[in-house]
Amino acid sequence: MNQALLPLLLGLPLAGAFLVLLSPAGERLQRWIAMAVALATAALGIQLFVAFQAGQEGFQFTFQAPWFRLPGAGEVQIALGVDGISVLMVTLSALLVPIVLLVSPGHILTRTREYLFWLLLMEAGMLGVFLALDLVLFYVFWELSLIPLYFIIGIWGGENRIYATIKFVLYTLVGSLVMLVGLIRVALDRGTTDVAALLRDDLDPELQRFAFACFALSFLIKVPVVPFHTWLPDAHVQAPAGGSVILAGVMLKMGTYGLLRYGVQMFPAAAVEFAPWLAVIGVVGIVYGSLVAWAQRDFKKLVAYSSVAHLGFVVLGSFALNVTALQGAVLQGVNHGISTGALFLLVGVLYDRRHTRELAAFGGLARTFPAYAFLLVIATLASVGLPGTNGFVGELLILLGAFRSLPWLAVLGGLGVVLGAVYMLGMCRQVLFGPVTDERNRSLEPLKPAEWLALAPLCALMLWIGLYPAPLLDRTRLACEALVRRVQPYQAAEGAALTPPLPPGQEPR
Amino acid sequence: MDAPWLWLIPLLPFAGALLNGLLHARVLRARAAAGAGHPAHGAGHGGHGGHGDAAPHPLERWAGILGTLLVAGAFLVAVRAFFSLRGLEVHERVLRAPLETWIRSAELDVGWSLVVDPLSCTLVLVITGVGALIHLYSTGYMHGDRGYAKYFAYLNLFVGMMLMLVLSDSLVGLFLGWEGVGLCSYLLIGFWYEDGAKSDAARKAFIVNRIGDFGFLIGMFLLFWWNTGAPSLNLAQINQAAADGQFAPGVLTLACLCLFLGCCGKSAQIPLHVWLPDAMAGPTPVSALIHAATMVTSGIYLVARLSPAFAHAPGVLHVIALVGAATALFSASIALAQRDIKKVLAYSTVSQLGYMFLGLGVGAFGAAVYHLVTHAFFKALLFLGAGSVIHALAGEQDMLRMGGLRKYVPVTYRSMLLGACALAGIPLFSGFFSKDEILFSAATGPYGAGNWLLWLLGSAGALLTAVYTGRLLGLSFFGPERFDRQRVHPHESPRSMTIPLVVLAFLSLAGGVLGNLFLHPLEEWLHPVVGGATVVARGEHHAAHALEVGLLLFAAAVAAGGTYYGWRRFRTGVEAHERQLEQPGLLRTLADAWHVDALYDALVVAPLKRLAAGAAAFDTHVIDGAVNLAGAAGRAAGGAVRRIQSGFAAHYALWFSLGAAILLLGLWLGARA
Amino acid sequence: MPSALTAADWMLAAPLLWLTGAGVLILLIDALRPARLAEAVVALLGLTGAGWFVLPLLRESVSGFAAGGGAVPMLVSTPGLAALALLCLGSAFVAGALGLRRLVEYEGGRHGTAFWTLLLFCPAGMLLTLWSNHMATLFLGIETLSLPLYVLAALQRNDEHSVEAGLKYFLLGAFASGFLGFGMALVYAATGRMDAAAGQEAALGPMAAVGLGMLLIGLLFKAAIAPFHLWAADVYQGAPTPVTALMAAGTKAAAVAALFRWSPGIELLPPTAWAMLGTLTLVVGNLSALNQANLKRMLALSGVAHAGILLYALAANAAGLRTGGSGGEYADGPFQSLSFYLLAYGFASLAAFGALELLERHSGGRSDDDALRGMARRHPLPGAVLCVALLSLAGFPFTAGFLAKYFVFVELIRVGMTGWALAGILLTLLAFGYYLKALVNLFMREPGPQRPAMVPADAFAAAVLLVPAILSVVFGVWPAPLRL
Repeated sequence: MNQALLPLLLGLPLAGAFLVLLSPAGERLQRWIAMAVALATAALGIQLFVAFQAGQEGFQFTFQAPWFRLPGAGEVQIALGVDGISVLMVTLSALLVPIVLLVSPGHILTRTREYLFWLLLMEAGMLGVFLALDLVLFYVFWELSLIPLYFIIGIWGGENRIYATIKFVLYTLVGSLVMLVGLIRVALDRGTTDVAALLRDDLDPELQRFAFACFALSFLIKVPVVPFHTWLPDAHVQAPAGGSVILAGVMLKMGTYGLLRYGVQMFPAAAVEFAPWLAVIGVVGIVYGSLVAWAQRDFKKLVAYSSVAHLGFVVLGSFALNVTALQGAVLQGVNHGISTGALFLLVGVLYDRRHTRELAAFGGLARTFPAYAFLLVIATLASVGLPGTNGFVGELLILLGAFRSLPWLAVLGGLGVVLGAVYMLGMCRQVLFGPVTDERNRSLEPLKPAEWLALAPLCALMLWIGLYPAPLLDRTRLACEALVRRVQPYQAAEGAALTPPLPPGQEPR
Repeated sequence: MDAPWLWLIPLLPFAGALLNGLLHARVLRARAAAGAGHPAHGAGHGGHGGHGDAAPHPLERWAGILGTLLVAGAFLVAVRAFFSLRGLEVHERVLRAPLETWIRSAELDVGWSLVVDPLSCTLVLVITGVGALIHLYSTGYMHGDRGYAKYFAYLNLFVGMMLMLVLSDSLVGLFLGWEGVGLCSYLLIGFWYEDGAKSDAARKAFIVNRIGDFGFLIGMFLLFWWNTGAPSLNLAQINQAAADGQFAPGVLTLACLCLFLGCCGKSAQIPLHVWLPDAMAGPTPVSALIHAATMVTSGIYLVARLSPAFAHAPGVLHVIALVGAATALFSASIALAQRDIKKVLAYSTVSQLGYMFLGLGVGAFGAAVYHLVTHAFFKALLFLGAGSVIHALAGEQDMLRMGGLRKYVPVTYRSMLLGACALAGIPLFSGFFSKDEILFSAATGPYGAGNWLLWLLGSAGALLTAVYTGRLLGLSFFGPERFDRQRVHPHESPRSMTIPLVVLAFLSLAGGVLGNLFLHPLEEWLHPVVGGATVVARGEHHAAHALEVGLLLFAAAVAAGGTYYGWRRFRTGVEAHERQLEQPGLLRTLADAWHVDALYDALVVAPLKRLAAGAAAFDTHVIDGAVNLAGAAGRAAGGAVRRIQSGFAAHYALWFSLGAAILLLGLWLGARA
Repeated sequence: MPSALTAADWMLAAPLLWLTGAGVLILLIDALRPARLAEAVVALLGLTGAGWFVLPLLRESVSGFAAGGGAVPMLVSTPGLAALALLCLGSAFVAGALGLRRLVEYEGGRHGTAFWTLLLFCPAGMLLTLWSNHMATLFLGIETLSLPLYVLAALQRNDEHSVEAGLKYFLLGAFASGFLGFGMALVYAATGRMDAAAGQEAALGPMAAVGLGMLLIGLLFKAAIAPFHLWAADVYQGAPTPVTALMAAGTKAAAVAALFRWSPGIELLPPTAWAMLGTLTLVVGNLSALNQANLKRMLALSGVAHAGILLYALAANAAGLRTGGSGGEYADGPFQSLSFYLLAYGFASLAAFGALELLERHSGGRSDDDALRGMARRHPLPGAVLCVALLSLAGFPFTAGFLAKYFVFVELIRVGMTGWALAGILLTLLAFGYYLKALVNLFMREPGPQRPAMVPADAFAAAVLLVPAILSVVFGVWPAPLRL
């Protein structure tokens, strides 16, 4: 079972995609097939999470099969495996897809078959990114996941969808093409594309610097960090709700995951060297993203910019380079997927009913749409990191850890906690509270069972992770410790010691 | 001693919150089913003590009963905890309910454990006791509101969160409660959300609190990492580490200042006091419970809880004392000129919290907590009384539109009179003793000449307190009746509302006389927790008995005189007063709260908003502009290159020949070299 | 020439004889008893049979027709070249399948015989070009592949674009052939040699250098490399689409493979020169394709850009020769990457032009964006094929196009030309721009009004088209068999 788990996880959505595409079934049946496939994949994802041995270091459930020979870089393998960092991402991705499928009948009104095909194909691509343990395989999945979203935004998106989708693909391609160069150089230099081996290797520092720059550019665009972020609001605003959920929930996580796996872990020397700058970029993202979010009048744009701010936290945590911050960064990645995913679903709920996303078009929904208000408030609270919700645990760990290595940046990042409340509560004020200004908001269709089914698990997860994050943190602990061990020698060399900067006159312990 | 049953204390209200929430959902469903025919139902709330526009659902009355009983149950468990503590040796008075796992990561290990010691036990008794009374009051006050069950869900949630705040054994757990009560405050201030102003007030409260919380977080980080021993966020361990000198003095000062910023936010001290007066937008019982008796005192609790750390942090207590004294005087002055009865009480609360911080700042931790308790009684009483008055006048909150009410609402009047005496500091009432103790501690504090400055500020504040208290009584209960008798028929409130008034009135009285003359127990009771810190902060000293008596007499005179003056001055001649309030002048400035809000708006909020708008514009035009420019440049280059493709074979041959010429020339030269 | 042919000679000759034989047979049929079906069957069988004879060449390198019994063989086949030969034959087969309903029946079937004969002679020329190791066979091959194409391009003689395409191609092609022939003469005059290795001599005089240059220009023209590419857009666009498919896949493969064999020594053309030429071609091709509002023309110009990337493989080859002489273990790397690229490009072009042909039948023969708007929705099978083809041309993973680019850039980086690789990779971004725009037009816009189909439903063509599309994906996932 363990051997077959990952190939199965990957193969199921892939097979499901083609099954949907080629089956002669009617639309309803196709939806059911897709849902069955997605649920089975989600079940496997949960099974993976449960069966994952928290106390065991390194990759688990590994699978290997030869693929093709690359002259100078040995045998390219179909190598799969998960460690503490990727297991969370895999489970999150697998869980989000059925939720997206659940709400899709609300806004996918044409060409359902194609939509289901692309969605499942995208799931395979995303899972592949997190599972791949071979550079080439990773890259292939990385790009594969792009095309489905290109079509999903381009076909089922809003008014300006074509501009948005081309911008999204081209922008992210700039990064991945540069990454390809770095990838080839590394593979040729080490004569292998085996990630597990490369993660043990000490590469030449000059090569590390080059490769890190290549890889990081790609990831930073994907995350995205300021100033590479402007594709995101456009893509989000134009994407159908399901696409936004996947984009925020998983796609962006590919960037943060990449930063950890192929940034820090593979090129530790370069990572240590660049870490302060990247942490600065993260903090800039937090503050800048929050400010811009505050000024938005479009609900979806606001949530999109809030993503920029949240992912700033993740970047800050990733490059604080200590266990606490790293664990926080990984967890916050999951959190962002859940809470921002929920927020995008909620935006979609309104859009399906009113066909507008202008904040000013709403107001007083707490009175006319109380169930919606309840869910939106919970998602907002998770998003602003109220203790007891998942956001708090992640932000606390990130800021606490970052404070150790980069105290001033942590303090500045902490401002995000205040600014987050400013714009998120501002949004709630405009949408939920105040008098009902538009009569159409008095007769909104109540939440459909499918919408409940999609949102309730997300809200439950927010609270569960907020109150009992131990199962997640335990699973990431060893992996994050391994990451820190990987960078530690270079930190000593760089003089950026792991110990906190002590106030004057105090002896290090 | 392990006492897992301590979990009942917060869990009972939490269960209430859950059940009431479900009840509310049920009611909403029933209402939706019934009102499906006419969705455009009702315009919204008038904004006062909530008399809704929907017929109460038969299930709803259970919400009040459930909420009240569960909080009362928590109170009973707290009483049991009290007696368990009493049964222990003085220095072993700690009960624990350990529960290890919450957040674990590297050095960080935070559990859910609860701890009850004399300090938290005191707070728990106040929270659940006063809380239960206010729940009871609310069953009457909120009767008929369309969000009746929701209200009790929030209120129960609040009590649970507040209990988590005082019971947690770690800073993180405390922070959970800290932000949790902030959330409930947000929800309850904006309870009548259809009034946009109320929603804005709620948001303001949350955000100002968040600014404080930012300080809290930074302080927490400092205490965690810059501890030269084993890092920990356990409150007892932090105190121990501070006492053992494991923090560099500068670090401890910085950390405590950061934490104090958090306290300023939660307890509405200068400069973060601006949210509390606006918080009066919530239903009046909420003001009583949250914005007078419990939540706003959590800053006091935090400093008292970490008193060993604060005492060891040089300079921090100076700051606290000064901020406290300044706030006390500053907001007392504002309370003088408010027309809204709840606003008077709100600024009064800010002022009284200032006294508590003054007490903490001069190292009189016990006295501060004592004032916290007495204040909880009498301020809750005053708010509930004010609520009763508002109820009687069908929503009128402007004291200039009241007058002569004492014959209409006798029970309210009498109990409020007792509460007012306590607030003003009339001898024998609880407020007199607790405030006097703080002022006395200030006068004999550790700051040399600074003591007298603090005392002077405090005493001046006390005088103003007495005056505005007298004014409040005079304006609302005496003099001519200024309300519209055609429209309003004042009447005494129902039993469910007056019983809590009477109980609290008794406590306001008893908290003074009994507590001080006969028992004087609280200081002793708290001694194991804060005694050590008091000694560190104040040193061992014995003030002259004569001085104590002298100050006591002076304070009594100030209180009595001030109250009398206020009552005399404002019983009549209200029209002149109203003109003063409206024309520019000192009173007008006071009425506008020294224009602090406008100042913040101009200096902080507006620039930040401009910054945000600027950032958004920058984002669209510069960053995204650059991206679009790159695309446009590519297309333009494509257009230029396309022109070569003219369609004429001759042109093609020309380009062909040109290329061939260059290539061949290159080869020829290359081969010759 | 010795009287007896060796076994190796026969192996190389067999496909050529089969093709020409089939061509002659068709002419005979037409002369004796015209039968359209028989001609088609013979032509397609001729192509298939030739392919069958090429199969053995996939296993081993074969040299044949040693000139005058000397050491220099006139034809040399390697497994990689044999694969390309199969591609050329396959392209002709696809062109035949596509032309069956459209070109054969054009003007009442008057041109069927010409179409089939030329379709058989053209790949014979391609095979000769691919295998040529001697100036004679090279010239013969180039001319044999070109002349039929000139005619095929102008086959639709009522369509002025088609005629114009044929004429332009012919004029410029004749110009290029002149360069080719004169260059050969100069090289022979200077060195006395006519074999492919002649240009690789270290010390060549200026005359030989110029001669080699002219020879190369002849090939660069056929491969549509800037600045000798300008004919491509007009000819590809004007020619009947089945013929365009043959040109794109077959001619490019033959010409580029010949370029590889005939490329002179590194003293004469250093790696940087190749890389510069490649980058120029890439820039010009991509930029010209960027704003095209006609899919066929865009594909033509994108083919120019692809030729630019192919030159990078030549640069890597030159650099490998410089650094390690043989290049040791990876000596074959550049050629392997080149042939893989040509195959990948060939499959994708066949699929793209083929699908376009099928769509054109519903758009009144037009291939501009407006006519093709939303067509993939209306015709899912050609739409899907076109989608795969465009993704492969763009170089998205799980298509052969991705691995093709990947292999080329691996070679380039291996020889240390990382900067050029970076430049080349970033330039492909432009290509993503126009391929994605084409997908937008085909998939995301609303289709225009429905038109009557020009040609009845053509299941055979559709089925044949699926082959290159499927191969594009198969070799994108499992490239090992093509790493020859």
